[in-house]
Amino acid sequence: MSFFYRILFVLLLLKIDYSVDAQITFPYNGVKHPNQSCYILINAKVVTDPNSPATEKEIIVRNGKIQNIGIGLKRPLDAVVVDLKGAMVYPAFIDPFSSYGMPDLPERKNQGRGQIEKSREESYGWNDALRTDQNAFEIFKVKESNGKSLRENGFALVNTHQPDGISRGSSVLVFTGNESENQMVLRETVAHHLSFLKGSSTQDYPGSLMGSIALLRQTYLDGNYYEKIIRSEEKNISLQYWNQLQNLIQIFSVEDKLDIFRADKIAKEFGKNYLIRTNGSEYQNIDLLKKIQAKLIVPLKFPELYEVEDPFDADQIDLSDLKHWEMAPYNLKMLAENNLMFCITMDGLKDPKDFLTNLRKAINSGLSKTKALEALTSTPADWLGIKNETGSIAIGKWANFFITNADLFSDTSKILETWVKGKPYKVGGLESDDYSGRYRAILGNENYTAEISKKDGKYDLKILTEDSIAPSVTIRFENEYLNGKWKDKDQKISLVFARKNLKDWEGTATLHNGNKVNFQLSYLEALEKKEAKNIQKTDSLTKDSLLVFYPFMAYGWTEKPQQKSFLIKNVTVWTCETEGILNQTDVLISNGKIEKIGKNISANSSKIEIIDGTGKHLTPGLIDEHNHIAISRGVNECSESSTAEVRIGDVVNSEDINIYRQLAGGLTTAQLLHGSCNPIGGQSALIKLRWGSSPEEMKFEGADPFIKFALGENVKRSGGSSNQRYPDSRMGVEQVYMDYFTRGKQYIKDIQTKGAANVRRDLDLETIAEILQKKRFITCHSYVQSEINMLMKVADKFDIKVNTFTHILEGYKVADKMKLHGAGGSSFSDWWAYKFEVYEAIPYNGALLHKQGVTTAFNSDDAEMARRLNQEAAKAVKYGGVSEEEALKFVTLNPAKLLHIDHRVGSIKIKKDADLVLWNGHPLAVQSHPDMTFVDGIKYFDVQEQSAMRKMIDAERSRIIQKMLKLKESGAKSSIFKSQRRRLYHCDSIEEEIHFDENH
Amino acid sequence: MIYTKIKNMRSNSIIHFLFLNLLFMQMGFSQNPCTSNFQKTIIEHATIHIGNGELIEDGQLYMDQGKIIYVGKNAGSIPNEVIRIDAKGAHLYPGFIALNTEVGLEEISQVKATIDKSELGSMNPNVRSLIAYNTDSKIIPTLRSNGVLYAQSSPAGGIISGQSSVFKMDGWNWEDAVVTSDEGIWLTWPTINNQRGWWAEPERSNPNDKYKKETDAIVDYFMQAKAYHLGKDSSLLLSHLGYDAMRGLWTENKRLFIRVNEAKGMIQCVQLMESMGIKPVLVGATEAWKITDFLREKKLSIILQKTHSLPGRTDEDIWQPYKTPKILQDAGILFAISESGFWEQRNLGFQAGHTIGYGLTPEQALTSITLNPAKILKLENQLGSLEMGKNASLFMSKGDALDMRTQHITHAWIQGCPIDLDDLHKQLYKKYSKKYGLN
Repeated sequence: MSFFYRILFVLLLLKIDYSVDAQITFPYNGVKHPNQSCYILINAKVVTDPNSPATEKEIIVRNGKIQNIGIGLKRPLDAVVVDLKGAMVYPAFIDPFSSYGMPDLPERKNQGRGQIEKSREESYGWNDALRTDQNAFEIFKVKESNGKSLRENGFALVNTHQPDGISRGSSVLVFTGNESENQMVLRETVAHHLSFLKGSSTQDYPGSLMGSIALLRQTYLDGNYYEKIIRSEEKNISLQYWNQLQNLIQIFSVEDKLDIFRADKIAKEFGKNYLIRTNGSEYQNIDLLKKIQAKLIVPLKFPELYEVEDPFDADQIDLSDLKHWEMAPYNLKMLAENNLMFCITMDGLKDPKDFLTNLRKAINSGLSKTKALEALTSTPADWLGIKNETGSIAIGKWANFFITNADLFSDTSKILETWVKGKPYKVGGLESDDYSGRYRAILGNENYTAEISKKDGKYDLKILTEDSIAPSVTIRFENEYLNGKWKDKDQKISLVFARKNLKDWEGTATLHNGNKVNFQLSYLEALEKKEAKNIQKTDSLTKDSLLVFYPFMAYGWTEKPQQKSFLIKNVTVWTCETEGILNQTDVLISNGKIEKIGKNISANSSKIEIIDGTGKHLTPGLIDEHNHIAISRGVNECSESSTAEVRIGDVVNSEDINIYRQLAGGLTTAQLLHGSCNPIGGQSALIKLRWGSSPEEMKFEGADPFIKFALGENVKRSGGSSNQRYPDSRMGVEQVYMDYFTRGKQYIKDIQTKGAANVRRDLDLETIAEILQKKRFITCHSYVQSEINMLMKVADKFDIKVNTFTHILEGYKVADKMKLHGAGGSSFSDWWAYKFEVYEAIPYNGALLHKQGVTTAFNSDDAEMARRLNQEAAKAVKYGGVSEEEALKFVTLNPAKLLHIDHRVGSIKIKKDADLVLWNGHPLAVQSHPDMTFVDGIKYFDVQEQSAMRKMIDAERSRIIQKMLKLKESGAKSSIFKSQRRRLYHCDSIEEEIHFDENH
Repeated sequence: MIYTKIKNMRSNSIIHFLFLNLLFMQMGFSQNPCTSNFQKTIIEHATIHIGNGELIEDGQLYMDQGKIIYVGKNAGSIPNEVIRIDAKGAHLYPGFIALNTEVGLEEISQVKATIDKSELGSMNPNVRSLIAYNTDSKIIPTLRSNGVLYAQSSPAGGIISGQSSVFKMDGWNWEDAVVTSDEGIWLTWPTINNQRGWWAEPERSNPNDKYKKETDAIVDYFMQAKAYHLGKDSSLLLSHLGYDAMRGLWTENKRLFIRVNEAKGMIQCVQLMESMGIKPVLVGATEAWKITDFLREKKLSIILQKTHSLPGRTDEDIWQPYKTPKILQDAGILFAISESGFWEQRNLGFQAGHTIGYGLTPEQALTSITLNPAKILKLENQLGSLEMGKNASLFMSKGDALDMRTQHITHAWIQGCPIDLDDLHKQLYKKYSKKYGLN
């Protein structure tokens, strides 16, 4: 290798740039020139900040910063003059949420379950998903290909982090320029990034969204206890970093709109303020966002046009997706109109080229330009604590701006240059004079009229002649010089060149025979301006089609149903009380309660809506003790033998269509249970099926808290081929309980003796303690008599009761013992034979339990069955001859008793909640269905309204599909609809499920 | 209802009741198959649900030699040596026919050792449920207790799963129990859209990238099998067990059952099979309601998925699966209602009953699990309705047998033989009732 090349190689390696050098600690190989630069930008229309109009100004840039700005500035002698010729200057954008310059994530090994321990051996904390030690400053590398695309979109600063893990460590604030890392970093540690995703961690825990939430909560607690309690016993790198990270800005990235509120709940609990990186569907939940005063970082991600030509393909797309396709561009407008605070991020875009297009789409959809600019400049600068340094074009701030040929938001606008830290980077390139026009072209003594036109930044010269054959000319323009080929009628080629002289071009042509003649283009006139091309604009949606549904899907409400007074007349009332069945009776409900039951009740107010119940039956709303609908991302947290710390209440999904379907089957209350894959599962949530409400609003207020336990084959993991997690036998199952209750007792004792402040708060043991203190109650998945008996004995030892055995298919064998212990049973009506432990399950179980005086319920544990629990109740009549009245109680009053809510629901009694079902026939008859279902006196289901809803769904679908077809006809690209999967892992190529069907 | 032998005359009814109880208990623990000891029997004053849509109030049904000799209002003179059953207030139904079930092939779902419903590999037309069918399954008595008297025991898994046979729910061994052997070949059509997630967390479907490849493989297999069939006399041809099994598809003695749910998939599999001279029965057919014109035009028959299913999509009618039977009925399409699985078949009657609330008449609902399945199995000359000359396979229920609230089956006959209605569940019920002093 020659010496020269060796030097070049070294230079390339070190990425040394002669123009700038601020690496003061670095030795230098070569002649060290001073680092200095000065520019003056003239003839510019400058938008200094989002709230100022574009005005003519000059800008002086010195050594990366703005030295002066104004009109008629004194030009520094050393300034390079940049003539912008009327171009516009905007403050550069700042992206508060980026992963620019981060190394590729390690490929996630496709591991199933089985990694119970952390993978790193050093003194890190116990969970691999807590990557608190990840410091973006330490791993940031300038990556020009990505930096370039950021600059092309106007970004000069980004807050970047490694998006891996639940705690993702700290971010670094960097310039997007192409200089050394040492110079491109503006702030070394800016924000602590968090998420619910475990990322590249292959550790089992957390295996569910609720597990992620529990892990975060426990980590906040452990951070607080670290110095005081933990550190003397255990040194922990992860917690030490965690505590340092708490001093930073906190940025939380979520997966869907409900996650925003989940993150907010954690923030409130631990006194944090999160900036929340969302997914672009916030318009679907505006009111709730206003309530929590969320600060949002919003992507400009709009769904692509879908292929809908084939009606069966179109059927694959849900109304919610069709609507979102239509409404996503309106998201920011709706946020702005409701005074919600937001920044915009480029993150999440598949193609960075879509950024400005989508930004303009948002503007065309009603977002104000000021708001858009704020969200990209002043707001992120403010939120990131750098507003004194950047975010606008002002004296003393970084010279971060970009130059456009026209108003940024106009369709013809292009970014020409982006200046980063005082250095210009070409994007489209500044425009020189426009050469377009009509010219007289002279070649020797030939004479033509010619036209120079410009398309996509390139010039084209055409000879205009009346002859059928014109000379064809191909000319290249560069730097006020042109050259090219001139092919005459006889196909003879002359080579021409010319230089620009004022508006004309003068030069020479070399003819085919080698002779040289004069070549000239003399300017005649400008071209007539053509009409600006019709660019596909987003149509403005009418108010009707901008309607948001609650929830945002088919069967969602446009207007939530209201509490009213209803008088149901002449109906057969199944009271589920000692009054029994009352014929031809009236029931008045108002203020959400049952007001009167009797004959001939008259409506004393015109506001009371009268419902004719002739031939119909009224029953209490049905109650399902065991249900798993409406849960987001993981019903089971399988990873440990006790996961008492996880809470279904954290992950209630109010947008599950099964809520509505079950309402239509007469269900009004459901206990949402954790799955059954570990002996001590998670905490349950009790909801009323208030369709259209938020998760928090659905929760049954003031209800006693419960927890799911499980026995037998599922917790031994008999279904799979191998098991590494304790327990592996029913013997071990008992010991899990013995262990946890023993430790729970100790935990209570520790708190009593040392004081709560001096004991590490353990969310797992705390929950166990609640059970021991009779503040939380057990629902236990159970099948065979041995294990049922065992758990009761364990409970006896610790002076507690098993509140409910759920499934309890062999309960009939130990019904007497259950009665003695005081346990209730919530069973399948007739399931059996799906595994060995249910081979002696019998449909007479319910009747036998009931006849032994055990409080007996039938449950669903199945989304389909939960919409016809009345039929399951009827099976108690068939198998074992339970009376119809008592059978109905299996799905009303009895589950209410098991759930400790029988003072509120479960029977038709004055002052109880007006949770009622009006059936079109006998409530236990196979062919009957609800005509109406009420919760809290609100009519959430009406069979008549349902058919109107169906029509509306079909009409909305057709309207949007029509629109898509038209757009496609006009040439827009479309793609086959693919649904987004939400997972706990970052890597889409992994087909691992986040759930396990360990359930029944 | 009183069970009386004419010879004994109406003696002391209490003694008689005890005697009967004893008889049943004796029979109870063994569930001996019927030993073709046919007794002439007449059932009187019954509400007779014929199964073809007709209903006879206060009717008579007379059976002998395993066949129905008379059904109607007045049987005329009946010989003396006849068992006479007074069915006042009770209903008579043809035995339910469970299609597409793993009965006899699966005993406990999560215990592999008890499962014989699928074989390794993807193209298994030669494997036969017939010889794996376990007549001693504890499941079977619980089904006939609820009126299911016949089942089409069908293999599952792979692409071509194997061959099904139809069994009566009574017999010492499979040879004894089989009604028609190897009558169907079962094919699972690839999905165009893959459904992922599970019911607690349903995920939206995504296109199956391998659909074309998978359907090509099926078409290829069928073309090879047909060529093999046509060239059967060629001396060059080596025996191929798989293609041999497929032959019946072209000789009319076997039917092709295709498990397919998507509308587009149904259209495509029917077209492709038509080009090979096969008219399949569509099984599952969740989206049949979308393409009734096509189904009627092609005169296809359908084994509909269980009524108790969730709608395929969020936007669909919340009761779509409840309403689909009525849509098919109105469109004049031959369909049967089915139940999934094996032990679940005892709820077959209720799968049909549920549709009554959504448009079918009670008799139409009954037809969908009796005469229509018989037609689909080409057994309508023997089974499926209580008509003269057909097998005397029927049961008697105190109340409506399509409603769980009222179904109470007291007697059942398979081909004229009274069958034991005891089962494991009743035995355990009795055992523990006794423990608690409940009887």
